[in-house]
Amino acid sequence: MAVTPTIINSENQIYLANSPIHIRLHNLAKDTSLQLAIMELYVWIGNLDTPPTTASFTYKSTKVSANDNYIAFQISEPISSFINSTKFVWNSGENAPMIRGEGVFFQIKYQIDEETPVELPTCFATNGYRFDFEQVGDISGNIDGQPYLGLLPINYSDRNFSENIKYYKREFDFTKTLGTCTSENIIKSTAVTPTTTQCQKGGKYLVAYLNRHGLFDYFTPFGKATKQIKVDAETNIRLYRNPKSINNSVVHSKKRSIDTTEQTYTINTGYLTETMVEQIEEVIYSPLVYLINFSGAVYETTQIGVTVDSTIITVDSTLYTVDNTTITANDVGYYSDYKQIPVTNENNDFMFKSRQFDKGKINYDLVFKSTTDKINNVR
Amino acid sequence: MTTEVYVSLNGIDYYRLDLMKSETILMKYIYKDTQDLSKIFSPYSQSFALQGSLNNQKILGFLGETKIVKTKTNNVFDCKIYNNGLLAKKGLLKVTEARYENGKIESYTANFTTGLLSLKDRMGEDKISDLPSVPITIDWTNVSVKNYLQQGLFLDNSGKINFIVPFISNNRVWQVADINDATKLDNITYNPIADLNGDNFIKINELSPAVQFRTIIDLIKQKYDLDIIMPLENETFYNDLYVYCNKLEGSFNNSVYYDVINPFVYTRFLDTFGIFTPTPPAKPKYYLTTDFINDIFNINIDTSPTAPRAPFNNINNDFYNESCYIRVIFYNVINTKSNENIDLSIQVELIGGVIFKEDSINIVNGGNAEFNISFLDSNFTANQIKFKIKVLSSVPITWSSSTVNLMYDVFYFGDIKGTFGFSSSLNNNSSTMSMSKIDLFKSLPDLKVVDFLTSFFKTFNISIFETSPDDGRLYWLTPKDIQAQNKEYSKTEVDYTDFVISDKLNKQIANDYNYYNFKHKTSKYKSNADYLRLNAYEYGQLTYPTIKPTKDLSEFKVETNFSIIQSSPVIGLNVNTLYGFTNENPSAQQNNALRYKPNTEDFTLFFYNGQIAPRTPYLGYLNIYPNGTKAIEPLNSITIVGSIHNQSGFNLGFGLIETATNESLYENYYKDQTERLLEPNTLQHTYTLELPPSELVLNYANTNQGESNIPSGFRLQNDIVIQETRYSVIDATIDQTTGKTTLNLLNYV
Repeated sequence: MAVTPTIINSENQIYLANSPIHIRLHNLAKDTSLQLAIMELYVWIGNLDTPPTTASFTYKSTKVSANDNYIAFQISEPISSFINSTKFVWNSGENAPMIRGEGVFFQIKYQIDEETPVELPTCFATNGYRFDFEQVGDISGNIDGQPYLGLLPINYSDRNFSENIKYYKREFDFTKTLGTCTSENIIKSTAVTPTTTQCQKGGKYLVAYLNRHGLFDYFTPFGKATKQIKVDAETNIRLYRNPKSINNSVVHSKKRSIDTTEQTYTINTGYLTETMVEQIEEVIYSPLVYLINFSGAVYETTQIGVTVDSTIITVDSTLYTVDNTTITANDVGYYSDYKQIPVTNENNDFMFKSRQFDKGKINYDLVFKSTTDKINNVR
Repeated sequence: MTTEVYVSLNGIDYYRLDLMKSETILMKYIYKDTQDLSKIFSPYSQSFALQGSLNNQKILGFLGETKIVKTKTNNVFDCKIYNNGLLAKKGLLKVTEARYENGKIESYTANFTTGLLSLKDRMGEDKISDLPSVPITIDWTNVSVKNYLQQGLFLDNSGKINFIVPFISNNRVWQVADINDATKLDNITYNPIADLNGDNFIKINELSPAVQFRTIIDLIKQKYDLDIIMPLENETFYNDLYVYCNKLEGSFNNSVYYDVINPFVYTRFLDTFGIFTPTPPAKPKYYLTTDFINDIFNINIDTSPTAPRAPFNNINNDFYNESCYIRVIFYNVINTKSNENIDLSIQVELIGGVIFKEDSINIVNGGNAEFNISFLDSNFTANQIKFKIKVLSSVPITWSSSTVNLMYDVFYFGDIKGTFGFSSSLNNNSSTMSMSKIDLFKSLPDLKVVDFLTSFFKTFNISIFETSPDDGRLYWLTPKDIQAQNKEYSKTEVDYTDFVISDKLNKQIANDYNYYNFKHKTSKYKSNADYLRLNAYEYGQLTYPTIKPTKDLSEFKVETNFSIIQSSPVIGLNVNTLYGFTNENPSAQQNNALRYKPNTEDFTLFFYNGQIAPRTPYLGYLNIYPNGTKAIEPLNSITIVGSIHNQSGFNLGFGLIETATNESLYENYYKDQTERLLEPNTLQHTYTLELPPSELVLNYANTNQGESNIPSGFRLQNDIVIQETRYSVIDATIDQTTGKTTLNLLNYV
């Protein structure tokens, strides 16, 4: 079997696969006479109009209890396992970061007993997540609608901004046609102009994270940033052949081998307004986080019009070539040098702070662990 | 060090599993445990946990999500383990458990095995006799057996399997003496005028063939798809080792269709008076015709036959019986494998394969077998019935001639019966039907393949080693092979001093055996029972100390399922034979000659020692030709076997037997090991090491002088030097992810 894809033009076709996705199937009569459901799940990346010809997964289940008028499947893990190459690459100046693989298309085709197979509209899933009272949305057909708060607008106005960073907002584009829509361009980047900017006093960091929609977002911390390294090493004895020949004033009798060198970043958010706490919550729940560490250097006016030919800027073993790029007036004032650090989120406790009880002291220490050792051990 | 584990759902595309940060894949390598075959095939891993990441879930086909239809029928995945990009292990990943927490998969439990661990399961209850895919048969007629006995090596009917017929009687003690010496009841000296019904010659039915031992190993390799390198195969004694096909009954699977040779003619048989022979009717009721090529019998009913006496008498009170019958007779049926009675049966098999009727009888050796199968008119379809006659025997047989008759009775003058029908002249079809074939493997005593292999490993103290993970081959090596110079399986010496990481060392008493016992199975052979009675230990057995401790016995026992037989001289002949019969009380014939019971149960090994031409007097052999002619003929040579290989001096006993002076199983394969274990200074040392990645993979590029063929990297057969002591490996547990290793070593003194 195969499926015919449909355009994606409503929020109801967006699924957040970091939370369970329950599919409930009925027969046409929606009664308890249904017995067996076979459901094909097609998952794909790339062009919307080129789904796989065979199902990625086939689900099969008989009715669980005699009184049931439905058969249910939970499909988030198989879908989520396809969102496995999410990439974020920061760009200097005013260039938008390169972002790939935030989501996948999926489509369901099912058959109840001997009834005609039913094909549901194509959907798009990200690694976002739903909050407590949100259930899965309605696709159509014989699937029950459930409470769904939709894609709540994310507040971009009440945020800290740095004037040295160019911000982009990631959002779903519901205007793409069947022939043009891909799993990349269904998410568009829109430049956001800061309204409140602050001077970064501590470390110059930017936290790039997957928000609850499964799209990349930024948080700009202003507080103190510390960096810590923990070394895990073993010191072992050393044995020798022919011990009489060993001069132990020269030869070491112990050897030390380092297993890991873990880097931890603790970054204070700086003082926040009460409404900004929601964003901190999102950072803490985020499944994927990058730290962008700026050196502080910015593009200056003297660089206008200067061509940086065949120069390679190395950012932690990753090569970015800025060949024949002319620094334009638009870049001026933005950070020029940076290091992108893939980190894991180590914040396990989170307390909502409020103006009422915490006065002006609304700030958090965010702890991130670098996924790479200080001593490079990539093999 | 980086370790990567790849698995495949379809055996072609491999995907990398996410490993936990502190992943340990402990591979267990055991030098050997001869007690349990499943443990011989090292290495295998202890179970380890895999994280339940989405990546792992996807690679493992969402194992645990029971509503997703699986393409794989089991949870065993083809698996490869790489260390620093080099293939270190290839085998199977068995996922045994998926742990859920909060509805999400937290982790999987899996273990890694080489593909061979399941060999014991695959062999299961298979017997040696099940090994060949097609029957391995040889002709077993008087004429052919005479050839076998005289000429030594032969190939089976498929031309692939070596066999011999050794100079062994399974029921009596042969003697050689003057042909006029009436006191020698089993005198087999050539005497052309001896009584053809007597005992003064070698008979076909006291002989048995023997199949080459290595063909069994070869068939095991073939059946279980094993790629094995075994240097033992180059030894002449190994190739001259044979197994006695001493099972007599229920093993020959002889069933053939009756071969029609002569045409049938309309015949009248004797009537009830015995003298009155009525003229045959012009139109008999039953006709028999035959398809000679396909051996199909065809009986037709003529619906308007003429009465038998029609030419004489027009009183039509004659009537036909409403049935006819087929009479099959085999004359002088001889069991060519033993003196036992013969169970013979025939089946009338209709065209299409349905068995219409069958009949079976038990006859004495040499007797006639007669079968009668009747056909009612109601059995005919459209006045016709077509069938083949199938003859079945559980033992190989020959007969002098046979006949098939169609008979039917006609009554006339009321109750006076005349019998008419169709008959042929006697068919000499014993040789064309070849019911005197022996299936070599079906006539081996019952032994499971697993027990056979275990015994084989014990006999030669064979250990199993892997070659490189790429080719999946195995080395089956004796301790001698490991010592060989510069072979890829040879042992080498490696210095692990640098890799020791723990300052602690345990020295344990390796074992507390106080009695070592090496033996073959206690067999029922008479000569072995006599040997045990005389010597207080078994033939070929070796124990240390000689007297078994009576207190705190801790026995190290190596016992095979094989038997060997002590050789015995033939009185009056400078040649040894083996007694193929048991210790049970013999029965006496009328002339007081003793007849023993053939040993049909013990899996018996001996060496083929070539041919010996007995000087005059020759030995006599009773030959019976296809036409039934009997003749006593001289044998100009005989095939000699024994437990000692004459060419190499190698003997099959663990201890020294008979004329053996040096080579024994113990001396060759167990001595060094046992003597090390007996030394009080030999202790089991337990070291903790961290092996570098180069030791975790086998590398065939060895630059050491004189070791160009020996791979580097950890191998069980290597000797290991740590500081100023040299050790051999007992077992090793290696964490494939970090190289952390626990070695149990046995020091050399």
